[in-house]
Amino acid sequence: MVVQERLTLEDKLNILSAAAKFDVSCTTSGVDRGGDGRSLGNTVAAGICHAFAADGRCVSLLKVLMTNECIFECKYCINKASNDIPRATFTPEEVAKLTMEFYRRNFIEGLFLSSGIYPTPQESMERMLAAVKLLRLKYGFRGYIHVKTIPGAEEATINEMGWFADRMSINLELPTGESLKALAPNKSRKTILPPMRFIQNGRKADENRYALTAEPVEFNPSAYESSRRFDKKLPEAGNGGTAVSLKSYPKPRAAMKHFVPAGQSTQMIIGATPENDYQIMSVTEGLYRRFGLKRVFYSSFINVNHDPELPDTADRNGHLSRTLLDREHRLYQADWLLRFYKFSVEDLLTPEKPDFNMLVDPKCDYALRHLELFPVEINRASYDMLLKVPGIGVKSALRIVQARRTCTLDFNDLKKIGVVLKRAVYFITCRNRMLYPVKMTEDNLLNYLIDEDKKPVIGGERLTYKQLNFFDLGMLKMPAGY
Amino acid sequence: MGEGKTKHILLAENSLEGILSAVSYAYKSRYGHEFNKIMIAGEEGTMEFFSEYIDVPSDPDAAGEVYRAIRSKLGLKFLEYIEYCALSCFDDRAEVIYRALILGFANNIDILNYRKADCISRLHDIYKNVQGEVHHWTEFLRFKIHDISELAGMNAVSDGDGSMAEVPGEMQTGIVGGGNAPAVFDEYSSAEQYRQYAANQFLTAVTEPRHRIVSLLLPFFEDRYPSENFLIYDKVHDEAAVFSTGKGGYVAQRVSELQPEIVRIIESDNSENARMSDLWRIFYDTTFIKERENRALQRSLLPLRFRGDMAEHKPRE
Ligand code: SF4
Repeated sequence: MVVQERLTLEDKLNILSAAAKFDVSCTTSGVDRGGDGRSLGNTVAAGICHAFAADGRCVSLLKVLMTNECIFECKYCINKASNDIPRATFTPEEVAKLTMEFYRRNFIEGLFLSSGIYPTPQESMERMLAAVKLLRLKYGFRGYIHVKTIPGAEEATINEMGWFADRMSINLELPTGESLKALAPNKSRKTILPPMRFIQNGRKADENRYALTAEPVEFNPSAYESSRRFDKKLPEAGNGGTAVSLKSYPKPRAAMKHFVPAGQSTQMIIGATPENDYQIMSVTEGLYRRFGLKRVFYSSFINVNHDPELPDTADRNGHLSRTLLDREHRLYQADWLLRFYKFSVEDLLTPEKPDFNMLVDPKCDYALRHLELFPVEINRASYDMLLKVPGIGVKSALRIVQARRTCTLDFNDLKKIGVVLKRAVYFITCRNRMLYPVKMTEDNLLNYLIDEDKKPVIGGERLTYKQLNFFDLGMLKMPAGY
Repeated sequence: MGEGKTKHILLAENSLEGILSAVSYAYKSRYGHEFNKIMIAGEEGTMEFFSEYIDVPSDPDAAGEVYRAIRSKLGLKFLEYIEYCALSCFDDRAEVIYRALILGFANNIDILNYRKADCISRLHDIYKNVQGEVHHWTEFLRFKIHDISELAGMNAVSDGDGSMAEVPGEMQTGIVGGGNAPAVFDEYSSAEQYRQYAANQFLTAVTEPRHRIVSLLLPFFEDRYPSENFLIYDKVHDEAAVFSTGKGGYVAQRVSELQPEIVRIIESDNSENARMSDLWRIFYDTTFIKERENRALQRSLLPLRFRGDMAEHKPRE
């Protein structure tokens, strides 16, 4: 460990923001809290971006680690204990100062605070809590705060944090317990899932309390737990995740109104371990359904430690490989379908076909594999079915349902109400007529649906659906540049 | 032009009040809407032949009457659209408002959803355009922080009630770090000390918008910074939104002419601002993951014209 004496604030920021950058979740959405007319700050549910980094990602939060000292040895992490790198630790006042002075200049929407584990999980959590309480109580900061839950911290501390933060997240890190064990030997599902469940219960208790009375009452997770049973486990989640504390924790004095009002998120690293998309999405579905998460983030693995046992995911120029980035993109698309389009994982993938199609998006792929359901008649199809039509989004589906109450819709009407027909046109009828006659076969439709830049050319021939599946199986070579 | 009747071009003052005054004039003149056109004085462009140009001065009473009629008959949402439209830079803004009002007053229709009419679909476009710009500036406006003592001895930027510079004498000297008190953001400082530190400062930001949006930015930042004094200066239209804690906000016109001092202060800088910009720059530079570089995406998300005041896009020394 390189010990550095007397680092300036600039030095520390340099080290501790670089150390935090691989955590992808940078959304500020999820909570709309107007100003209170007295102290600094509000939050906006739609999310606000204050800058865009050179990788195109939105920069809206001051994302730093409290410290990059760490006693753990996660193989994917630059801060792992055995790495010989400059280390630094913020004081809580320093974090507060940076947050306040950046916020007042409108550089940021708030703070995203994480930490290495040092000297113990509990002490790391306490240090973050000190910073967050300073901001809320001493400086009257009402902007957005996202804090990582440290696995292994005490429930009482997590509870207190929940009353001052907007969002909390604890990273699942890897899709399966085995991979976690292999890559993050000091972590386990047993230390990750219980805090996740604890916060979920706290949020439920908070909601119930507000549903029943206007006055806050004591937070009692066990009372809540007895009213509802969480008997399902995450696939392969082992035994973790169902343990629920029987102790109750009070709402701290001067706390914010709600417990973790923006909910929880988590992150999984993809491409470091052999899980297929089906496994990953199954875990995601479990997290949404059984743990009530707000978001799951997917982070393409970058082998920062040049660990010879882990895959190298960069291309010759040091950029992440297109294949992995495309896969990440597909996961986000599918994630979207789970959250807003009423799809389940089983609709999208199966154990026999466990990975996403790289040439068409998951929704098109679904349609191609379920041609028996199409075309659907716009004037009759249920809302849920409209959502499954490629090219029709939530907004369009709602507009269709609204508009068809007053009249029978034709293609022109669809255009008028702003439905984009480009893809949808192959899957819908209006008054039982298709816009142009299309043969409803996979091969035929495929050519209309492939992302233009991904169209492989095989001796000038049109691609067939069968060949497409060969691509997926790696039996045909991808065209150059892919 | 109909039966050869001379066209009347009503020249309104450049404000919602001015436009509504002209609308009121048009109704009262009974000249016939089809022979009228409302434009903003000073934006006539090339004179049209066979037209009579009539200056219509702002009339608060007449405009107020129309304003109330809009509110009660056409609704608050529509009123907001009209307000945005009047603040826009499009030279058909007065005419769009005029036509939309004629349509709305004459027919019992859900006016905002009557997109079939050109003036309504145009109104939507203009609203969206202005709203988009407001949103962008809420994200990319940058504030500098000044000590309120810099304002000492000058008249406030105000519309007459002089709120900003009215600071009690004892607060003009820096309490911060003075005497034996610990500095703010020190372990030993108190919440009260921070409160005073902030109360002794004011925030300034400069925008160069296409539309006159400072009055639309004001409510957003009022909600966000209720504990700060701040001023948002629109360099293009030479107007400023001014907010002082506990007193509320207003928009001041012709700032550089009436208050050249404040413009000088806005453009001046101090070491603390420079340090914070540097720190921000450090953060910005380190947060980028080189493996994921995507400049094209960055460019499409942040058009170059917004980059002016953003420390992270300033060329490095
Ligand atoms: S716990 Fe693991 S992931 Fe977190 S800082 Fe330490 S080594 Fe990195």
